[in-house]
Amino acid sequence: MENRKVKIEIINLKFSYEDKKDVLKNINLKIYENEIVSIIGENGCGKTTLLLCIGGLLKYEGKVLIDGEEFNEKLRRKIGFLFENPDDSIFMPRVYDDVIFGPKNFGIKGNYDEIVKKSLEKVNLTGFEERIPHHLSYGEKKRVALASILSYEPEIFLLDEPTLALSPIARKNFIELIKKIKGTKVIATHDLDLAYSISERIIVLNDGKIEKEILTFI
Amino acid sequence: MKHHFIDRFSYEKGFLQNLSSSFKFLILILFLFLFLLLPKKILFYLPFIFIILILTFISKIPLKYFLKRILIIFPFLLIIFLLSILSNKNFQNFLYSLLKSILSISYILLFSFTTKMDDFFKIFENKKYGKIIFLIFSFLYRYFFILYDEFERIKRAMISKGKNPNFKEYTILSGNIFVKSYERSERILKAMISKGWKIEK
Repeated sequence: MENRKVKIEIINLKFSYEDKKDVLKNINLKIYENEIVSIIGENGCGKTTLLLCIGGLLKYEGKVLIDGEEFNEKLRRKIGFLFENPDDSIFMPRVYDDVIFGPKNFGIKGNYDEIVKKSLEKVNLTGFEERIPHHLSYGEKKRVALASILSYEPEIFLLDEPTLALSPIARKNFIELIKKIKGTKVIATHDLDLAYSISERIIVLNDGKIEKEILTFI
Repeated sequence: MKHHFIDRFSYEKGFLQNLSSSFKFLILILFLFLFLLLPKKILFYLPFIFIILILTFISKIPLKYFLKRILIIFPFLLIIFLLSILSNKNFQNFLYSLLKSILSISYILLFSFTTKMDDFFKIFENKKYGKIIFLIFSFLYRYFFILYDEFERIKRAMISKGKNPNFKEYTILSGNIFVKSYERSERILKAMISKGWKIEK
């Protein structure tokens, strides 16, 4: 693993909310290119907060380096964040607009219709372009949310509870989708089965600190 | 949770559904102005009532459902009725106000039932300042149902714990919804920023 390029490097990361609760306490972590890392731990141990810090969505103390560079707006395109609740991730009137939201903002040039079509194909939602997001089932919303980040082809995927509240079949299909995606993946989850079946390394967070690192030999 | 969406019949294949949204919107506005100017003679109103019935039929909207929705206007009509009594105007005035209101609400309902909300918002998208209106309305439409779901969930939780919500509980519920919607808006903003959206846009 040491031979691989370091994709994300977290150095002395600390984060506290306004109520002064220290959520993350001096986190140091290296995540390698194309590695799949799962973060597990109790509710409130800081899993989501850690993902938000890596995604540059919270202000923190310490450093988060992406490809050796400290987080800046240019790096945002390299990161795709799949939020826990798909209703937070998809906010446009049509599936088409949601999927193309990222590419438009990042100034990606190309045939937008084609980008949307390909992204929806990847998540098995071909023909959903004109559908209204809030008319979809929970599983479909999750896949639209995934398509909305696949559309700008990020290199790093931050997946917050990707299998939460999915039916067994939807969960199985979603795991297959995640496996197919190319890139570095950091998954915050309570789903131990997912963590062991998909990740090369599992990070156990406890009270804002890394308690253990487990290699799964995948 | 399942809702009766405003545009629930817009996916049917009917007469009004096939017309363009901007054309329908223009006709609707014209009709609304026309109703204001209609003289106080019943003969002038009958053709419009007839048109409503025809349009409802050829646009595949169930008449019973349509009539139920028109009833929404009645509490407001009661206020008009009280006002007309207070201002010493006669019953005829009230009757024609009632007819005008029913006609207006019927045409608005016909428009909203048969127009996809997204198509409707797009009428404004390319106009001056329209982008902001488009965004506000599309977000409003998108999140109204999510907030309604949250409202229903909290209400169910209250009922399951033996409390049928009354005025006091509804006040607490509204406060709770406000806080939740604020928190949700923060999460949505994070999702938008993560996809490259910038506040100055």
